[in-house]
Amino acid sequence: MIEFFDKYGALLAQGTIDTLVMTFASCLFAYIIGLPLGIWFAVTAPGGLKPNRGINTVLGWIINIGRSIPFIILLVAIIPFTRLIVGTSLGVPGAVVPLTVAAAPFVARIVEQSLAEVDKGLIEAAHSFGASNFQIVTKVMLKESLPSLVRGAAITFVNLFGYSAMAGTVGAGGLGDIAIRYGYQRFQGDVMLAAVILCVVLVQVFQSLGDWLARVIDKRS
Amino acid sequence: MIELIDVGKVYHASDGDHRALEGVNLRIEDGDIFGIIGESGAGKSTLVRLLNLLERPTEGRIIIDGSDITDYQGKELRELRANIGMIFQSFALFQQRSVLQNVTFPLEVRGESKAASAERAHELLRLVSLDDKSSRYPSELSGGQQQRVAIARALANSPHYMLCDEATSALDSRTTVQVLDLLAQINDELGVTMVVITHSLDVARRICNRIAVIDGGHIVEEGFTADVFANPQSDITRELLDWGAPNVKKATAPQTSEGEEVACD
Ligand SMILES: Nc1ncnc2c1ncn2[C@@H]1O[C@H](COP(=O)(O)OP(=O)(O)O)[C@@H](O)[C@H]1O
Ligand SMILES: [Mg+2]
Repeated sequence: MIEFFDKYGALLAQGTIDTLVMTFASCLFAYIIGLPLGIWFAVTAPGGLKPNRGINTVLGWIINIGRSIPFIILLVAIIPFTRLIVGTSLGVPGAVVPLTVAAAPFVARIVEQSLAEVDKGLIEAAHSFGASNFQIVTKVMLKESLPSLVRGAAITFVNLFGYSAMAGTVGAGGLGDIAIRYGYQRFQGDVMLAAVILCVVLVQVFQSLGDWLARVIDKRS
Repeated sequence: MIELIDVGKVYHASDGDHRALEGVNLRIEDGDIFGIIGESGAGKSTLVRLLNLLERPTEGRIIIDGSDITDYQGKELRELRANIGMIFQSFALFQQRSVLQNVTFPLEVRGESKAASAERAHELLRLVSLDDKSSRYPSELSGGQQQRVAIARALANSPHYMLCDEATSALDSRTTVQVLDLLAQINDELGVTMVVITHSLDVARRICNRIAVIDGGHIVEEGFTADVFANPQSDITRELLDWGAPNVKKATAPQTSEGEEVACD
Protein backbone atom coordinates (compact mmCIF):
# COMPACT_ATOMS: atom_id res chain seq x y z
CA MET A 1 0.00 0.00 0.00
CA ILE A 2 2.71 2.43 1.07
CA GLU A 3 4.79 1.29 -1.82
CA PHE A 4 1.89 1.93 -4.18
CA PHE A 5 1.43 5.48 -2.98
CA ASP A 6 5.16 6.12 -3.10
CA LYS A 7 5.12 5.13 -6.70
CA TYR A 8 1.80 6.58 -7.93
CA GLY A 9 0.82 9.16 -5.29
CA ALA A 10 2.27 12.13 -7.15
CA LEU A 11 0.68 10.95 -10.40
CA LEU A 12 -2.75 10.62 -8.82
CA ALA A 13 -2.41 13.97 -7.03
CA GLN A 14 -1.51 15.70 -10.29
CA GLY A 15 -4.42 13.92 -11.98
CA THR A 16 -6.81 15.12 -9.29
CA ILE A 17 -5.57 18.70 -9.62
CA ASP A 18 -5.83 18.63 -13.42
CA THR A 19 -9.36 17.24 -13.28
CA LEU A 20 -10.48 19.82 -10.73
CA VAL A 21 -8.90 22.72 -12.63
CA MET A 22 -10.52 21.61 -15.88
CA THR A 23 -13.90 21.09 -14.22
CA PHE A 24 -13.94 24.33 -12.22
CA ALA A 25 -12.64 26.49 -15.06
CA SER A 26 -15.03 25.11 -17.68
CA CYS A 27 -17.94 25.27 -15.21
CA LEU A 28 -17.18 28.92 -14.53
CA PHE A 29 -16.89 29.85 -18.22
CA ALA A 30 -19.95 27.77 -19.11
CA TYR A 31 -21.96 29.84 -16.61
CA ILE A 32 -20.52 33.12 -17.87
CA ILE A 33 -21.94 32.20 -21.29
CA GLY A 34 -24.88 29.98 -20.34
CA LEU A 35 -26.44 32.03 -17.54
CA PRO A 36 -27.23 35.14 -19.62
CA LEU A 37 -28.28 32.90 -22.50
CA GLY A 38 -30.63 30.95 -20.22
CA ILE A 39 -32.10 34.15 -18.77
CA TRP A 40 -32.65 35.52 -22.27
CA PHE A 41 -34.26 32.24 -23.32
CA ALA A 42 -36.62 32.29 -20.30
CA VAL A 43 -37.51 35.96 -20.70
CA THR A 44 -38.41 35.62 -24.39
CA ALA A 45 -40.40 32.39 -23.92
CA PRO A 46 -44.16 32.47 -24.61
CA GLY A 47 -45.75 33.72 -21.39
CA GLY A 48 -42.36 35.03 -20.25
CA LEU A 49 -41.44 38.49 -19.10
CA LYS A 50 -40.94 39.83 -22.62
CA PRO A 51 -42.12 37.17 -25.07
CA ASN A 52 -40.38 37.20 -28.46
CA ARG A 53 -41.11 34.24 -30.66
CA GLY A 54 -38.29 34.92 -33.17
CA ILE A 55 -35.48 35.31 -30.64
CA ASN A 56 -36.80 32.43 -28.55
CA THR A 57 -36.92 30.06 -31.51
CA VAL A 58 -33.37 30.90 -32.61
CA LEU A 59 -32.05 30.54 -29.06
CA GLY A 60 -33.85 27.21 -28.76
CA TRP A 61 -32.16 25.95 -31.91
CA ILE A 62 -28.71 27.05 -30.81
CA ILE A 63 -29.16 25.48 -27.40
CA ASN A 64 -30.50 22.20 -28.73
CA ILE A 65 -27.90 21.84 -31.48
CA GLY A 66 -25.17 22.57 -28.90
CA ARG A 67 -26.53 19.91 -26.60
CA SER A 68 -26.89 17.26 -29.27
CA ILE A 69 -23.29 17.14 -30.53
CA PRO A 70 -21.40 14.25 -28.88
CA PHE A 71 -18.57 15.69 -26.80
CA ILE A 72 -15.82 13.59 -28.34
CA ILE A 73 -16.76 14.91 -31.79
CA LEU A 74 -17.04 18.49 -30.57
CA LEU A 75 -13.63 18.17 -28.96
CA VAL A 76 -12.01 17.42 -32.31
CA ALA A 77 -14.26 19.55 -34.50
CA ILE A 78 -13.53 22.80 -32.73
CA ILE A 79 -9.73 22.39 -32.53
CA PRO A 80 -9.15 25.42 -34.81
CA PHE A 81 -11.43 27.50 -32.56
CA THR A 82 -9.67 26.23 -29.45
CA ARG A 83 -6.28 27.24 -30.91
CA LEU A 84 -7.69 30.67 -31.71
CA ILE A 85 -8.86 31.21 -28.13
CA VAL A 86 -6.04 29.74 -26.01
CA GLY A 87 -3.26 29.36 -28.55
CA THR A 88 -3.12 25.58 -28.22
CA SER A 89 -5.43 22.63 -28.55
CA LEU A 90 -3.47 20.58 -26.05
CA GLY A 91 -3.23 20.24 -22.29
CA VAL A 92 -5.62 21.65 -19.70
CA PRO A 93 -6.28 24.94 -21.60
CA GLY A 94 -6.95 22.93 -24.76
CA ALA A 95 -9.58 20.92 -22.85
CA VAL A 96 -11.27 23.82 -21.07
CA VAL A 97 -12.43 25.42 -24.33
CA PRO A 98 -14.36 22.40 -25.69
CA LEU A 99 -15.67 21.58 -22.21
CA THR A 100 -17.02 25.14 -21.95
CA VAL A 101 -18.55 25.02 -25.42
CA ALA A 102 -20.19 21.68 -24.60
CA ALA A 103 -21.55 22.79 -21.22
CA ALA A 104 -22.77 26.33 -22.03
CA PRO A 105 -25.95 25.22 -23.91
CA PHE A 106 -26.67 22.71 -21.17
CA VAL A 107 -26.33 25.48 -18.57
CA ALA A 108 -28.61 27.76 -20.61
CA ARG A 109 -31.27 25.04 -20.65
CA ILE A 110 -31.21 24.23 -16.93
CA VAL A 111 -31.10 27.94 -16.01
CA GLU A 112 -34.15 28.48 -18.22
CA GLN A 113 -35.92 25.60 -16.50
CA SER A 114 -35.12 26.92 -13.03
CA LEU A 115 -36.43 30.37 -13.96
CA ALA A 116 -39.58 28.94 -15.56
CA GLU A 117 -40.46 27.33 -12.22
CA VAL A 118 -40.81 30.73 -10.53
CA ASP A 119 -44.46 31.33 -9.58
CA LYS A 120 -46.07 33.66 -12.14
CA GLY A 121 -48.01 35.25 -9.28
CA LEU A 122 -44.76 36.57 -7.81
CA ILE A 123 -43.78 38.17 -11.10
CA GLU A 124 -47.21 39.72 -11.34
CA ALA A 125 -46.91 41.02 -7.77
CA ALA A 126 -43.52 42.54 -8.60
CA HIS A 127 -45.08 44.26 -11.62
CA SER A 128 -47.83 45.61 -9.39
CA PHE A 129 -45.21 47.32 -7.18
CA GLY A 130 -43.68 49.07 -10.18
CA ALA A 131 -40.62 46.84 -10.62
CA SER A 132 -38.92 47.02 -14.03
CA ASN A 133 -38.27 43.88 -16.08
CA PHE A 134 -34.57 44.03 -15.19
CA GLN A 135 -35.42 44.22 -11.48
CA ILE A 136 -37.85 41.34 -11.85
CA VAL A 137 -35.10 39.17 -13.37
CA THR A 138 -32.50 40.03 -10.73
CA LYS A 139 -34.59 40.55 -7.61
CA VAL A 140 -37.39 38.05 -8.19
CA MET A 141 -36.61 35.35 -10.76
CA LEU A 142 -32.95 34.70 -9.91
CA LYS A 143 -33.50 35.17 -6.18
CA GLU A 144 -36.56 32.92 -5.96
CA SER A 145 -34.96 30.17 -8.06
CA LEU A 146 -31.57 30.26 -6.34
CA PRO A 147 -31.87 26.81 -4.67
CA SER A 148 -32.84 25.31 -8.02
CA LEU A 149 -29.98 27.13 -9.77
CA VAL A 150 -27.53 25.74 -7.23
CA ARG A 151 -28.81 22.21 -7.83
CA GLY A 152 -28.39 22.78 -11.55
CA ALA A 153 -24.81 23.97 -11.00
CA ALA A 154 -24.02 20.79 -9.07
CA ILE A 155 -25.35 18.68 -11.96
CA THR A 156 -23.34 20.71 -14.46
CA PHE A 157 -20.22 20.29 -12.35
CA VAL A 158 -20.62 16.52 -12.11
CA ASN A 159 -21.29 16.24 -15.86
CA LEU A 160 -18.18 18.26 -16.66
CA PHE A 161 -16.22 16.12 -14.26
CA GLY A 162 -17.19 13.10 -16.31
CA TYR A 163 -16.58 14.80 -19.68
CA SER A 164 -13.14 15.91 -18.56
CA ALA A 165 -12.09 12.24 -18.60
CA MET A 166 -12.38 12.34 -22.40
CA ALA A 167 -10.15 15.38 -22.50
CA GLY A 168 -7.25 12.98 -22.04
CA THR A 169 -7.55 12.54 -25.81
CA VAL A 170 -5.94 15.95 -26.20
CA GLY A 171 -3.32 15.24 -23.55
CA ALA A 172 -5.00 17.26 -20.84
CA GLY A 173 -4.33 14.66 -18.17
CA GLY A 174 -6.67 14.21 -15.24
CA LEU A 175 -7.99 11.18 -13.41
CA GLY A 176 -9.98 9.83 -16.34
CA ASP A 177 -6.91 9.96 -18.53
CA ILE A 178 -4.86 8.10 -15.90
CA ALA A 179 -7.52 5.42 -15.59
CA ILE A 180 -7.56 4.85 -19.34
CA ARG A 181 -3.82 4.96 -19.87
CA TYR A 182 -2.86 2.70 -16.96
CA GLY A 183 -5.88 0.44 -16.89
CA TYR A 184 -6.73 -0.03 -20.54
CA GLN A 185 -3.41 0.44 -22.24
CA ARG A 186 -0.91 -0.89 -19.65
CA PHE A 187 -3.15 -3.33 -17.79
CA GLN A 188 -2.27 -1.85 -14.38
CA GLY A 189 -5.62 -2.46 -12.71
CA ASP A 190 -4.54 -1.10 -9.35
CA VAL A 191 -3.77 2.39 -10.72
CA MET A 192 -6.98 2.39 -12.70
CA LEU A 193 -8.95 1.37 -9.62
CA ALA A 194 -7.33 4.11 -7.50
CA ALA A 195 -8.16 6.75 -10.15
CA VAL A 196 -11.75 5.53 -10.45
CA ILE A 197 -12.22 5.49 -6.68
CA LEU A 198 -10.92 9.06 -6.52
CA CYS A 199 -13.43 10.07 -9.21
CA VAL A 200 -16.32 8.43 -7.35
CA VAL A 201 -15.35 10.07 -4.05
CA LEU A 202 -14.93 13.51 -5.60
CA VAL A 203 -18.25 13.32 -7.43
CA GLN A 204 -19.99 12.25 -4.22
CA VAL A 205 -18.38 15.10 -2.30
CA PHE A 206 -19.31 17.81 -4.82
CA GLN A 207 -22.84 16.49 -5.37
CA SER A 208 -23.45 16.38 -1.61
CA LEU A 209 -21.96 19.85 -1.23
CA GLY A 210 -24.34 21.14 -3.91
CA ASP A 211 -27.36 19.44 -2.32
CA TRP A 212 -26.40 20.75 1.10
CA LEU A 213 -25.91 24.31 -0.16
CA ALA A 214 -29.23 24.25 -2.04
CA ARG A 215 -30.94 23.08 1.14
CA VAL A 216 -29.49 25.66 3.52
CA ILE A 217 -30.22 28.63 1.23
CA ASP A 218 -33.79 27.49 0.57
CA LYS A 219 -36.12 29.38 2.93
CA ARG A 220 -39.24 27.46 1.94
CA SER A 221 -38.83 24.72 4.52
CA MET B 1 -60.97 58.91 -7.83
CA ILE B 2 -60.99 56.06 -10.34
CA GLU B 3 -63.30 56.24 -13.34
CA LEU B 4 -63.91 53.57 -15.92
CA ILE B 5 -65.54 54.77 -19.12
CA ASP B 6 -67.04 52.17 -21.49
CA VAL B 7 -64.28 49.74 -20.64
CA GLY B 8 -64.12 46.39 -22.40
CA LYS B 9 -61.61 43.57 -22.48
CA VAL B 10 -61.18 40.82 -25.03
CA TYR B 11 -58.52 38.18 -24.40
CA HIS B 12 -56.83 36.84 -27.49
CA ALA B 13 -56.26 33.21 -26.63
CA SER B 14 -54.97 30.40 -28.84
CA ASP B 15 -58.50 29.01 -29.18
CA GLY B 16 -59.88 32.35 -30.38
CA ASP B 17 -61.05 35.60 -28.86
CA HIS B 18 -62.65 35.61 -25.46
CA ARG B 19 -64.64 38.57 -24.16
CA ALA B 20 -64.20 39.08 -20.41
CA LEU B 21 -65.67 42.59 -19.94
CA GLU B 22 -68.05 44.79 -21.90
CA GLY B 23 -69.27 48.37 -21.48
CA VAL B 24 -68.09 48.80 -17.91
CA ASN B 25 -68.73 52.22 -16.40
CA LEU B 26 -67.70 52.73 -12.80
CA ARG B 27 -66.69 55.53 -10.50
CA ILE B 28 -64.79 54.81 -7.31
CA GLU B 29 -64.61 57.83 -5.00
CA ASP B 30 -61.72 58.63 -2.70
CA GLY B 31 -62.16 56.98 0.68
CA ASP B 32 -64.45 54.25 -0.65
CA ILE B 33 -64.17 50.60 0.14
CA PHE B 34 -65.62 49.56 -3.16
CA GLY B 35 -66.71 45.94 -3.51
CA ILE B 36 -66.92 44.13 -6.82
CA ILE B 37 -68.88 40.93 -6.40
CA GLY B 38 -69.79 38.21 -8.79
CA GLU B 39 -69.49 34.52 -9.41
CA SER B 40 -66.35 32.76 -10.56
CA GLY B 41 -65.50 33.69 -14.14
CA ALA B 42 -67.66 36.84 -14.07
CA GLY B 43 -64.65 39.04 -14.88
CA LYS B 44 -63.76 40.40 -11.42
CA SER B 45 -60.03 39.73 -11.58
CA THR B 46 -59.86 41.10 -15.10
CA LEU B 47 -61.58 44.27 -13.95
CA VAL B 48 -59.31 44.89 -10.98
CA ARG B 49 -56.17 44.08 -12.98
CA LEU B 50 -57.11 46.80 -15.45
CA LEU B 51 -56.83 49.42 -12.72
CA ASN B 52 -53.04 49.07 -12.44
CA LEU B 53 -52.73 47.95 -16.07
CA LEU B 54 -51.62 44.40 -15.30
CA GLU B 55 -54.06 43.90 -18.18
CA ARG B 56 -54.75 46.50 -20.86
CA PRO B 57 -58.36 47.28 -21.76
CA THR B 58 -59.24 46.64 -25.39
CA GLU B 59 -61.92 49.37 -25.28
CA GLY B 60 -62.64 52.45 -23.22
CA ARG B 61 -60.63 54.71 -20.95
CA ILE B 62 -59.42 54.49 -17.36
CA ILE B 63 -59.06 57.79 -15.50
CA ILE B 64 -57.27 57.97 -12.16
CA ASP B 65 -57.15 61.26 -10.25
CA GLY B 66 -58.12 63.09 -13.43
CA SER B 67 -55.36 61.57 -15.60
CA ASP B 68 -56.11 59.17 -18.42
CA ILE B 69 -53.79 56.28 -17.59
CA THR B 70 -55.00 53.88 -20.30
CA ASP B 71 -51.85 54.18 -22.41
CA TYR B 72 -49.26 54.64 -19.68
CA GLN B 73 -45.93 52.94 -20.38
CA GLY B 74 -42.48 52.60 -18.84
CA LYS B 75 -41.59 54.95 -16.03
CA GLU B 76 -45.00 56.65 -15.98
CA LEU B 77 -46.63 53.25 -15.52
CA ARG B 78 -44.24 52.25 -12.73
CA GLU B 79 -44.94 55.54 -10.93
CA LEU B 80 -48.66 54.88 -11.23
CA ARG B 81 -48.29 51.37 -9.85
CA ALA B 82 -46.34 52.65 -6.85
CA ASN B 83 -49.48 54.62 -5.97
CA ILE B 84 -51.69 51.51 -6.17
CA GLY B 85 -50.93 48.71 -3.70
CA MET B 86 -52.21 45.22 -4.42
CA ILE B 87 -52.85 42.06 -2.45
CA PHE B 88 -53.68 38.62 -3.81
CA GLN B 89 -55.61 35.49 -2.94
CA SER B 90 -52.42 33.41 -2.74
CA PHE B 91 -50.56 36.23 -0.89
CA ALA B 92 -47.75 36.23 -3.51
CA LEU B 93 -45.03 36.70 -0.91
CA PHE B 94 -41.44 36.19 -2.04
CA GLN B 95 -40.50 32.85 -0.48
CA GLN B 96 -36.76 33.47 -0.41
CA ARG B 97 -37.10 36.86 1.28
CA SER B 98 -37.70 37.46 4.94
CA VAL B 99 -40.84 39.25 6.12
CA LEU B 100 -38.86 42.49 6.37
CA GLN B 101 -37.35 42.04 2.90
CA ASN B 102 -40.80 41.40 1.46
CA VAL B 103 -42.08 44.67 2.86
CA THR B 104 -39.04 46.63 1.68
CA PHE B 105 -39.29 45.21 -1.86
CA PRO B 106 -41.52 47.96 -3.30
CA LEU B 107 -39.19 50.57 -1.77
CA GLU B 108 -36.08 48.80 -3.00
CA VAL B 109 -37.29 48.81 -6.60
CA ARG B 110 -37.84 52.55 -6.35
CA GLY B 111 -34.28 53.11 -5.21
CA GLU B 112 -34.94 53.95 -1.55
CA SER B 113 -31.97 53.58 0.78
CA LYS B 114 -31.74 50.38 2.82
CA ALA B 115 -31.97 52.19 6.15
CA ALA B 116 -35.00 54.28 5.21
CA SER B 117 -36.73 51.23 3.69
CA ALA B 118 -36.12 49.13 6.80
CA GLU B 119 -37.44 51.85 9.06
CA ARG B 120 -40.59 52.24 7.00
CA ALA B 121 -41.03 48.44 6.87
CA HIS B 122 -40.83 48.11 10.65
CA GLU B 123 -43.40 50.89 10.98
CA LEU B 124 -45.78 49.01 8.67
CA LEU B 125 -45.14 45.67 10.37
CA ARG B 126 -46.11 47.30 13.66
CA LEU B 127 -49.32 48.49 11.99
CA VAL B 128 -50.18 44.89 11.03
CA SER B 129 -48.92 43.61 14.44
CA LEU B 130 -46.13 41.48 12.99
CA ASP B 131 -42.98 43.39 13.83
CA ASP B 132 -41.82 40.53 16.06
CA LYS B 133 -41.80 38.26 12.97
CA SER B 134 -39.73 40.54 10.74
CA SER B 135 -36.81 38.12 10.36
CA ARG B 136 -39.01 35.07 9.70
CA TYR B 137 -39.71 33.68 6.24
CA PRO B 138 -43.20 33.40 4.68
CA SER B 139 -43.21 29.60 4.95
CA GLU B 140 -42.96 29.99 8.72
CA LEU B 141 -46.16 32.04 8.99
CA SER B 142 -49.86 31.18 9.03
CA GLY B 143 -52.09 32.23 6.13
CA GLY B 144 -53.51 35.18 8.02
CA GLN B 145 -50.04 36.36 9.01
CA GLN B 146 -48.86 36.02 5.43
CA GLN B 147 -51.73 38.15 4.17
CA ARG B 148 -50.94 40.79 6.80
CA VAL B 149 -47.34 40.87 5.57
CA ALA B 150 -48.69 41.29 2.04
CA ILE B 151 -50.85 44.18 3.26
CA ALA B 152 -47.82 45.83 4.86
CA ARG B 153 -45.91 45.34 1.59
CA ALA B 154 -48.76 46.83 -0.44
CA LEU B 155 -48.67 49.92 1.78
CA ALA B 156 -44.89 50.42 1.55
CA ASN B 157 -45.05 53.25 -0.98
CA SER B 158 -47.93 54.97 0.88
CA PRO B 159 -50.34 54.36 -1.99
CA HIS B 160 -53.67 56.15 -2.30
CA TYR B 161 -55.32 53.03 -3.63
CA MET B 162 -55.25 49.39 -2.73
CA LEU B 163 -56.57 46.52 -4.85
CA CYS B 164 -57.59 43.31 -3.11
CA ASP B 165 -58.31 40.32 -5.37
CA GLU B 166 -60.09 37.66 -3.29
CA ALA B 167 -57.72 38.58 -0.48
CA THR B 168 -59.51 36.47 2.12
CA SER B 169 -60.66 33.54 0.00
CA ALA B 170 -57.79 31.32 1.17
CA LEU B 171 -58.38 32.11 4.86
CA ASP B 172 -60.66 30.59 7.49
CA SER B 173 -63.59 32.67 8.70
CA ARG B 174 -61.99 33.95 11.90
CA THR B 175 -58.82 35.05 10.08
CA THR B 176 -60.95 36.55 7.33
CA VAL B 177 -62.63 38.81 9.85
CA GLN B 178 -59.26 39.92 11.25
CA VAL B 179 -57.89 40.74 7.81
CA LEU B 180 -61.07 42.56 6.77
CA ASP B 181 -61.03 44.61 9.95
CA LEU B 182 -57.41 45.48 9.29
CA LEU B 183 -58.31 46.66 5.78
CA ALA B 184 -61.16 48.75 7.20
CA GLN B 185 -58.78 50.23 9.76
CA ILE B 186 -56.27 51.15 7.04
CA ASN B 187 -59.03 52.74 5.00
CA ASP B 188 -60.20 54.69 8.02
CA GLU B 189 -56.86 55.76 9.50
CA LEU B 190 -54.70 56.16 6.40
CA GLY B 191 -57.47 57.16 4.00
CA VAL B 192 -56.50 54.46 1.49
CA THR B 193 -59.22 53.89 -1.10
CA MET B 194 -59.87 50.17 -1.50
CA VAL B 195 -61.19 48.07 -4.33
CA VAL B 196 -62.24 44.73 -2.91
CA ILE B 197 -62.93 41.82 -5.24
CA THR B 198 -64.91 39.02 -3.69
CA HIS B 199 -67.41 36.29 -4.43
CA SER B 200 -68.52 36.45 -0.82
CA LEU B 201 -71.40 38.65 0.25
CA ASP B 202 -70.30 38.40 3.85
CA VAL B 203 -67.03 40.08 2.91
CA ALA B 204 -68.82 42.81 0.99
CA ARG B 205 -71.34 43.33 3.77
CA ARG B 206 -68.65 43.64 6.41
CA ILE B 207 -66.44 46.32 4.90
CA CYS B 208 -67.73 47.79 1.64
CA ASN B 209 -69.62 51.06 1.56
CA ARG B 210 -70.43 50.64 -2.13
CA ILE B 211 -70.66 47.53 -4.29
CA ALA B 212 -70.98 46.67 -7.93
CA VAL B 213 -72.32 43.32 -9.03
CA ILE B 214 -70.72 41.83 -12.13
CA ASP B 215 -72.03 39.01 -14.24
CA GLY B 216 -70.78 37.72 -17.57
CA GLY B 217 -68.50 40.72 -17.97
CA HIS B 218 -71.26 43.28 -17.38
CA ILE B 219 -71.94 45.44 -14.34
CA VAL B 220 -75.55 44.54 -13.56
CA GLU B 221 -76.02 46.64 -10.46
CA GLU B 222 -74.20 49.26 -8.45
CA GLY B 223 -74.90 51.29 -5.34
CA PHE B 224 -74.51 51.67 -1.60
CA THR B 225 -74.05 48.29 0.02
CA ALA B 226 -77.03 48.63 2.31
CA ASP B 227 -79.31 49.60 -0.59
CA VAL B 228 -78.20 46.74 -2.80
CA PHE B 229 -78.68 44.24 0.00
CA ALA B 230 -82.08 45.62 1.00
CA ASN B 231 -83.41 46.06 -2.48
CA PRO B 232 -81.55 44.03 -5.10
CA GLN B 233 -82.38 45.08 -8.67
CA SER B 234 -81.06 42.17 -10.71
CA ASP B 235 -81.70 38.44 -10.74
CA ILE B 236 -78.04 37.64 -10.29
CA THR B 237 -77.84 39.79 -7.16
CA ARG B 238 -80.89 38.05 -5.71
CA GLU B 239 -79.29 34.73 -6.52
CA LEU B 240 -76.05 35.76 -4.81
CA LEU B 241 -78.08 36.90 -1.79
CA ASP B 242 -79.77 33.50 -1.61
CA TRP B 243 -76.43 31.79 -1.58
CA GLY B 244 -75.13 34.20 1.03
CA ALA B 245 -78.01 33.78 3.46
CA PRO B 246 -80.23 30.88 2.42
CA ASN B 247 -82.18 30.55 5.66
CA VAL B 248 -83.16 34.23 5.77
CA LYS B 249 -84.11 34.69 2.13
CA LYS B 250 -85.63 31.30 1.44
CA ALA B 251 -89.22 32.55 1.44
CA THR B 252 -88.62 35.15 -1.30
CA ALA B 253 -86.46 32.96 -3.52
CA PRO B 254 -88.46 31.24 -6.27
CA GLN B 255 -85.68 28.87 -7.33
CA THR B 256 -85.11 27.56 -3.82
CA SER B 257 -88.79 26.89 -3.10
CA GLU B 258 -89.12 25.22 -6.49
CA GLY B 259 -86.13 23.01 -5.60
CA GLU B 260 -87.77 22.13 -2.30
CA GLU B 261 -91.00 21.11 -3.98
CA VAL B 262 -89.07 18.77 -6.20
CA ALA B 263 -87.37 17.38 -3.13
CA CYS B 264 -90.77 16.80 -1.45
CA ASP B 265 -91.96 14.63 -4.31
N1 LIG C 1 -55.35 35.43 -19.76
C1 LIG C 1 -56.56 35.04 -20.17
N2 LIG C 1 -56.73 34.56 -21.42
C2 LIG C 1 -57.94 34.19 -21.86
N3 LIG C 1 -59.07 34.24 -21.13
C3 LIG C 1 -58.98 34.71 -19.87
C4 LIG C 1 -57.73 35.13 -19.33
N4 LIG C 1 -57.94 35.55 -18.05
C5 LIG C 1 -59.25 35.38 -17.81
N5 LIG C 1 -59.90 34.89 -18.90
C6 LIG C 1 -61.33 34.61 -19.02
O1 LIG C 1 -62.04 35.78 -18.74
C7 LIG C 1 -63.17 35.52 -17.94
C8 LIG C 1 -63.12 36.32 -16.65
O2 LIG C 1 -62.05 35.83 -15.85
P1 LIG C 1 -61.69 36.49 -14.45
O3 LIG C 1 -61.58 37.96 -14.62
O4 LIG C 1 -60.50 35.79 -13.93
O5 LIG C 1 -62.97 36.15 -13.59
P2 LIG C 1 -63.19 36.10 -12.01
O6 LIG C 1 -62.02 36.74 -11.36
O7 LIG C 1 -64.47 36.83 -11.78
O8 LIG C 1 -63.33 34.66 -11.63
C9 LIG C 1 -63.19 34.01 -17.70
O9 LIG C 1 -64.09 33.44 -18.61
C10 LIG C 1 -61.79 33.58 -18.00
O10 LIG C 1 -61.75 32.28 -18.51
MG1 LIG D 1 -60.59 35.97 -9.97
